[in-house]
Amino acid sequence: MKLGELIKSRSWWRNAVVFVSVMGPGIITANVDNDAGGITTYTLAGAHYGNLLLWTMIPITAMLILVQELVARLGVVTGKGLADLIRENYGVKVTFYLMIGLIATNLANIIAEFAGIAASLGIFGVPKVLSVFTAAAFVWWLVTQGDYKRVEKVFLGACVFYVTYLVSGYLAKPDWNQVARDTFFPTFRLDRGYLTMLVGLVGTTIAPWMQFYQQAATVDKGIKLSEYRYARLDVVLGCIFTNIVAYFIIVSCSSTLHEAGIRVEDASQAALALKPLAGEWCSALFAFGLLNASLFAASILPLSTAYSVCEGMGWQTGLDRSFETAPQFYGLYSLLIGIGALTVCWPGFPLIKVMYWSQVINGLLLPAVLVLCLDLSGREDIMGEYKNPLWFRLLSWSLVGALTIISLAMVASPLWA
Amino acid sequence: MNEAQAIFFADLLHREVRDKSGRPVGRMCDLALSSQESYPRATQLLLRRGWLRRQYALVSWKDVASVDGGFDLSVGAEELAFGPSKPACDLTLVRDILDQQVVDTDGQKVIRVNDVRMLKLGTELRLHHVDVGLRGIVRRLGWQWWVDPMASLFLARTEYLKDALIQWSLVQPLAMNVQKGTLKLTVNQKQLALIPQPDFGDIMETLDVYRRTALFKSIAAELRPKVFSELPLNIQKELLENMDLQEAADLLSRVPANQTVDLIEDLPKSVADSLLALMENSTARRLSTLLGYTSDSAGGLMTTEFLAMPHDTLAGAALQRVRQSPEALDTIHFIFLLEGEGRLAGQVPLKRLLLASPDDPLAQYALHKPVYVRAKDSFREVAYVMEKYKLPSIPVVDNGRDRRLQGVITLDEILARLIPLAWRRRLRVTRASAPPASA
Repeated sequence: MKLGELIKSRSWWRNAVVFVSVMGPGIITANVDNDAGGITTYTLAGAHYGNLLLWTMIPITAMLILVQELVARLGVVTGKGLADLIRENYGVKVTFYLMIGLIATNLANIIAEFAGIAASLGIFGVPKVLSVFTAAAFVWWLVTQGDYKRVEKVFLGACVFYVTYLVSGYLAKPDWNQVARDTFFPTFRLDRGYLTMLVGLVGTTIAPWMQFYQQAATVDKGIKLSEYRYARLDVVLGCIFTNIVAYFIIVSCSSTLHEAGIRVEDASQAALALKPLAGEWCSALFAFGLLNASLFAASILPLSTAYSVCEGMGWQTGLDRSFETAPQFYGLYSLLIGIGALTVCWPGFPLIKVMYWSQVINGLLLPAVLVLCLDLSGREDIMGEYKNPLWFRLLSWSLVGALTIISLAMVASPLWA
Repeated sequence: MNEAQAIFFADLLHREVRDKSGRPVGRMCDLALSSQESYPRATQLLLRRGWLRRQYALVSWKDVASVDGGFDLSVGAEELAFGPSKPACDLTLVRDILDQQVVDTDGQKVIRVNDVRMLKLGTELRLHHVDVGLRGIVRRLGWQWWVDPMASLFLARTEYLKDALIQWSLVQPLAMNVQKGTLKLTVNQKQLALIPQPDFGDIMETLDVYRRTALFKSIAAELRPKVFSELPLNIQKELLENMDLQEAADLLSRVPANQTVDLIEDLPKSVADSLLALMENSTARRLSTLLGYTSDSAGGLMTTEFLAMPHDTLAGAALQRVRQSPEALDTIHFIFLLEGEGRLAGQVPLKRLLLASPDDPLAQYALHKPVYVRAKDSFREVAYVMEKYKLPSIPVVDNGRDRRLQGVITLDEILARLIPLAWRRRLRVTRASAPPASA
């Protein structure tokens, strides 16, 4: 009998204390998912298709929970990051090309986050160059403080601000009866735009960096097997909350922009268009939500990328190390932030095109990462008694199959467009 | 033929394997190694055929006729027993060493093996160096043919062109027996013992929890308490949680008492009691006394390792006892004088004892008035008293009237508590005076 197994918590308050100490990785990862790109997609889904896509949030949440629970379990059981596990089990080649893909898609996302920061602060009248460089400096400063525990608290705080979307959804005064009907009675249309949007929603909600970040954060926190059920709760709550936020974004855009027949191209335009329709407050909250989300994701994505890449390639990682001992880590981290900030300030930068290519790489990378995760989590020699049971394997393989088709469809969408 | 030749494993991996008639039978996908020798020798060759439905076969090394741009076997294809899964081997190169983390006992850090350099003598292959450099990665990717010329052309003096090789004898592999939770190769005790303690803590921190435990277990039992007591508290806790009660009790009874108290304090009472029950009696009794105090009081801070003598001892005899005192007692600032049933009568600074003439009674050299704190005193009070009298350590007596000596607090214990406080205050001060961060 191991000592650890003797230490069991019984009373409910002790459970609550353990949950609070374990909480973080799941909630943070899921919330960062609602980043600038995500909010844009939800906005467009609501503005162009009204409530028609609301029902998808339920199956998407289920899929997200399935995938994120799996990587959290991998992290708790093996005590290793995902990049570590992939390197050790599939060799350097697989790891290397995966990491190249991860850097490419994450870099495009980081650029989008900085663009989101510039756009949202632009609504409040802040010039682009000022906002982007202040944000880059803030992000760099925040994370290199060296104490991840404190940084994590800041991140958890940032999660709270997503509530602004719930409020702006409420202020938009939707017809709740209609919303409920559209949520629980799915409508499916076979037109191209609708399908592309559906694929986009899935692709933006389940992204490859999330698996890497979730697992790394879980391991970093040192969550033990005995605390695993709390970690799972953390994941489930995070995914549900995230998609509720996404749901409200769709609702608020649907009941205002779609009703009024206004076409928008991105989230900041939506925020502006909300002003005459739903009032100053609703618009400001929407813009503030976008700022918070972009800033939050801009802090996490470069960090997560640098961690995963260095881990996979066997370079020293970690914020508690000095620049001399972990040059690749800090180099990559700073480079990602630098490129992200600079490209946004570059007039005429083809952001839309870059975002499109990022989605393509995302669509190719996601199936690869998921297949590896599923393979790893089904292996007896890695997971022991925590490996996926048969029903889970059947379910998850078929879901990954579906996701693969969806992702590839997204990659191929311009061919039929 | 008899010349030893260095060869990188990346150049051998996935090379063709031919049977005795020269027909290809598959590709080499792993090598089994002998775990007994200091430079492990390849003992078996694992080959693979098929792509979608892979099959594996194990060939003994005596059936390998030549290693030259591929492997030629001295047996026919029909003698190979192919099966759908990899046959069990104790230690293999690809599974256990390549791409895995190892401890570089020379550079004192955890590194990842990018490639392995082997020494080829006839058909014998021995593992000699691990490659941890960028060039190893490039070689594994199969890019050396264009990266190397580019590097020598543009960055002639770059570190890249010198391979980052580490001799195998300086490497501690961390391949594990999953069920047993132990390392597959016995640790090179001498090499591990040479790693300075703070670096060892760093190494432990880099590893995942299972390898951490396995590496710790593989350290010789007599070195464990010392290594353990130097590790950070969170790693200590984690290691303990992965031990059996008996193991934990054995270990804890041999680390300094104040550390043990810190560790036991957080455990549920039932677990702490069963641990104490398993420890040696004298240790357990001391620990229970310490555990009775709250951690911020003098009683919680003190250690029970000190040197005390009856107040009528002669200086010569006292000096003799200092010489014979156990090694664990490494900070003696004072000799404490006791009278009756452990009542503190005074304290003699070590320096005065050294200068004393051997036949004088010890009491003659004591400070003119004993300076002490009570077990219930807060650590701030302790710090205040120590500062006031400029003492490197101070005795703690119980809360009753008879001033019974319980333990000693040394300056480093106080510093360890004061420094975080001081930092917190400093941070507050700088925050308050600095302009708020722009966000």
